[in-house]
Amino acid sequence: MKPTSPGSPHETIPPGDAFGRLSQLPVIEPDATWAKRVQGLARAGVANARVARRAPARVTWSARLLAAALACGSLVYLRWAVEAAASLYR
Amino acid sequence: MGAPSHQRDSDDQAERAAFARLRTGDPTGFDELYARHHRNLYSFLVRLSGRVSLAQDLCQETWMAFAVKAGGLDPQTHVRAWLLTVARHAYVDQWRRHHRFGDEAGAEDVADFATSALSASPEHGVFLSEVERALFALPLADRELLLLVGVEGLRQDHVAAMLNLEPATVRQRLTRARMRLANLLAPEPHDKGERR
Repeated sequence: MKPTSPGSPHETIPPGDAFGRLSQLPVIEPDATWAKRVQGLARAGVANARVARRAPARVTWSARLLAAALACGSLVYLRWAVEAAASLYR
Repeated sequence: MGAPSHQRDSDDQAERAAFARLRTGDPTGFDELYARHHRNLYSFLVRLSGRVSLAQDLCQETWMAFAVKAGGLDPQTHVRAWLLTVARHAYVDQWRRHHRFGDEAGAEDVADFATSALSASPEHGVFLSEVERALFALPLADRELLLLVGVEGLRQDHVAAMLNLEPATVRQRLTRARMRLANLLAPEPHDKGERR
């Protein structure tokens, strides 16, 4: 490898520096039990985030359907409103 | 160096598909990305911090952040660079909060994984374990650059974006970091005297 001069003429990288060998450093294996536990926790985080993203829309729909049920006296709308609210907990 | 281009392309496609699944909330997408990246992320954090227990905490924090935020990320997000960026920020925050995390505190852990380099690669093991120790003896700014570019193989423009620096600055800092690493690994002057 050719020596290079980054800033001043006195700064040179010695030939054959270790930079090229950094990619050969082995991967440090984590403890398998710990890695599984982290995966499980984060996986649960994925499911929670999905619920959290959907919840506001479902709450809105549930409220709209409840309002429609009260306005029309419709049992069908009331049932949909209850189902939409219940789906938040599934 | 590395995998042939067609293999890299199919790897990229598989990764994008997994990420797309995760963004819709499919946990199998998460599993695939975790399987691809958790070892490298862990290695990066152990080498950056020099402490296994701290690396474990930061790793967990990074994966939790990824799990929660993945749905809102851009579909073109470079997952590995994102994970390394978040992990690096988490470490730098810790480092700033607790200046007592000095290099000495991690010295035993470094010795441990430097020795594991020895057993993993008997051919170059002695040299690689010296490289591990020298890396940890460098200032944090040098160490993180060498880890990101040299070990993780990230492109310099990605690293510049991660560190919020100009690409020219990254190039210059990298050159200096390489020089310092090389100097740490250079034989002592008395060794030269013995060879004569």
